[in-house]
Amino acid sequence: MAPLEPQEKVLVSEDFLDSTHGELACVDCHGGDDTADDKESAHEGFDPQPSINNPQETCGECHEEAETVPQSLHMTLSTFPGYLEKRASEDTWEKVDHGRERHCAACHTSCGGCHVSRPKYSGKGFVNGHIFSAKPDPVNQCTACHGSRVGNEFFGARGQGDVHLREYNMSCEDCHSAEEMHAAAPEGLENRYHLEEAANCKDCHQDLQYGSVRDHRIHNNKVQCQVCHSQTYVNCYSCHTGTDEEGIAYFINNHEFEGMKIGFNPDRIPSNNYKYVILRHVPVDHKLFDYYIKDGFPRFDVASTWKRASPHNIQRRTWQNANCNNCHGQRDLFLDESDLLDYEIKANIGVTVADDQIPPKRARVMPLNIDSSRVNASRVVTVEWLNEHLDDDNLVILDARSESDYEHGHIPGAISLDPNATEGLRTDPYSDTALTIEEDETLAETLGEYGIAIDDHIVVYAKRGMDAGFLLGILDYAGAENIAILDGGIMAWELADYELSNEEPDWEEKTFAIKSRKNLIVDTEYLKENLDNPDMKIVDVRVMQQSTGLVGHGLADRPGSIPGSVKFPLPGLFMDDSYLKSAEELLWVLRERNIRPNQTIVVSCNTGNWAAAAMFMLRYLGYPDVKLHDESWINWED
Amino acid sequence: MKHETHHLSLRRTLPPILCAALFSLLLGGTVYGDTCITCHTDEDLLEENLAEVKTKTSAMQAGSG
Repeated sequence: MAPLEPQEKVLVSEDFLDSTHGELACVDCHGGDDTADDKESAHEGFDPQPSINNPQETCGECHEEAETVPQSLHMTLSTFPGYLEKRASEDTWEKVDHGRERHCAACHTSCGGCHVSRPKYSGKGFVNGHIFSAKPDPVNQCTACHGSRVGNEFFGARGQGDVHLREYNMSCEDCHSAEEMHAAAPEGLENRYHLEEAANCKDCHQDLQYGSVRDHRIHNNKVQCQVCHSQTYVNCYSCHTGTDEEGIAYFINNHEFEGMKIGFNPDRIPSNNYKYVILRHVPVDHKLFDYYIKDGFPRFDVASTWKRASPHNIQRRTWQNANCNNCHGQRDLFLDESDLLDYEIKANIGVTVADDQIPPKRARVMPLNIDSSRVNASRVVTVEWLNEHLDDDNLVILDARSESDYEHGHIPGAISLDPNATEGLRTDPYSDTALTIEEDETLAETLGEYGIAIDDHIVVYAKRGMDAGFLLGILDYAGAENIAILDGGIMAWELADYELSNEEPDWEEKTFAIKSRKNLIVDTEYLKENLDNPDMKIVDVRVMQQSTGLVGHGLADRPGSIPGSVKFPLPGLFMDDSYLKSAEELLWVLRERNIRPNQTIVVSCNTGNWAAAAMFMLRYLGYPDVKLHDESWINWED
Repeated sequence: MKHETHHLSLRRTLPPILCAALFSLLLGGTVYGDTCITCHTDEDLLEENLAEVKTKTSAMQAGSG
């Protein structure tokens, strides 16, 4: 979501004046003094958020829904205090609640945050010149707040996005109705799933037990839909709160990882009476409010820290439902005591799945027939391998993170080369010519300056695998053969407790004898001529708010996508935390999306960066004919 | 007769009252529009008068929350 300039945030469009709400006087809702002739006096008594501070006498004058808004979950976040109070004691609750007010309660909203403005938590400002919209804007409103989990998953900033958007162009309100959003939450509501009006998959997908899908009949009412139909999702750990020297409240999430865990349902209610559910680790920590009160949660164990989750990244076919034994008998997929931190073992007794409680493997299953024989396994190395080979003569380790991340600590001997900030790899995006990989001479000179020779063994790591992949895509194009991504990146290195360095190594410039693979690049002209070519598939690896045209890229003339392109966001190939899914799983997922090795696969994005990373991954997986549409969407013209 | 007088009285007084009310409403509407809307529809004016007010995020903050 692009930030707004101060004037853009409060600029009222002329069209608003012609709308129904434009017939009202500004002071009717916002107060202030409309007869004043200077800014300060005009804003005396002004209320920037009337729907939060006074919903019934502003919105409520015309909209009866505003009657219940003050008790809605968006306004009260009322299930937070419930859980926190359970964990606290009578002695600690007052201070815990103060911490909650300062931190957890900061992101509430009301009518305005869904129908006219960006919510306060996401930077405020009008979405569309103060014009009201009955349907909330999924990018600027809903996921402006619900971004980290819901938005990233739904649009494919983590995983390949949600089928409801990709195939059916559905938006948030198609599942989360106005009735749900406006509903008053009853006092003491246990959690949001208990709200009578809450969305449920079965609101649309009804009577599955009578349908033609065998697995629906077998698993109906036993297994939550998301167990079979969601992709991996983010889990947050150990949130700590505090107030800094300037008096600003802050939180620190010590650890986040993308993964998936199935566990026993901690919350069996009629609308959710499944035995097994998807569990997500919530950021609660036994020391969450220690800044406000030491040991504020003497009853920490009364509720689990792994909660029922509903990841918003649904696919009809997923790796779990590809084959019975991808789930049955898979110890790693089910929450185990070994997944828990010491202080949360008791809290999660009811949701962990013991070895003998895991559904057993099936004796006979349909084979997946995944051909992984062409996978170029040498293009991935593990942290264990790297740690053992740090002193190899021809090994060059490149850190593709930002320079500041590099300075905070890097793998010993690694050279900092952030492909997003280094000149000489790609042309200037603001020049008159198309943004592409640099000419051979410039590219070779740049790589040589960083101490890289074409026949070196080059290992690249980053915090996000796709940054490493971008640099590896360029190296691949430049002709380097012996290149590899570090599985798990810097996070895996740190978790393995290997040494980190703050010293920049000495390196000598080398001659990079470039052998650029021109055949890997196609331009826009080529694509236009081949749009109807049945042997060519264009894969759009952008996040889906861009590939579906909801928002445009800053360098593009307009939002949209190349006709006929397949939407497959790059994070479907790279996990959030730089770990890689197995080659078999990736090959299966690509096959399911009909992206097959017997075609010419052209990868495209906005600027070519993500597409380069996708090219690296597809070539690692053994796709024989992958082309990079280097110019990508920003150079696509009608 | 009494009824007629009353009717006549209304017929004479209502139009000017309505006109006055309508005029004041219109005028009022214009005043609302002029003060708030004049500024808030003029991007240049807003740019001149508004400074960047950044929501302060603590340097200590980390993670996606």
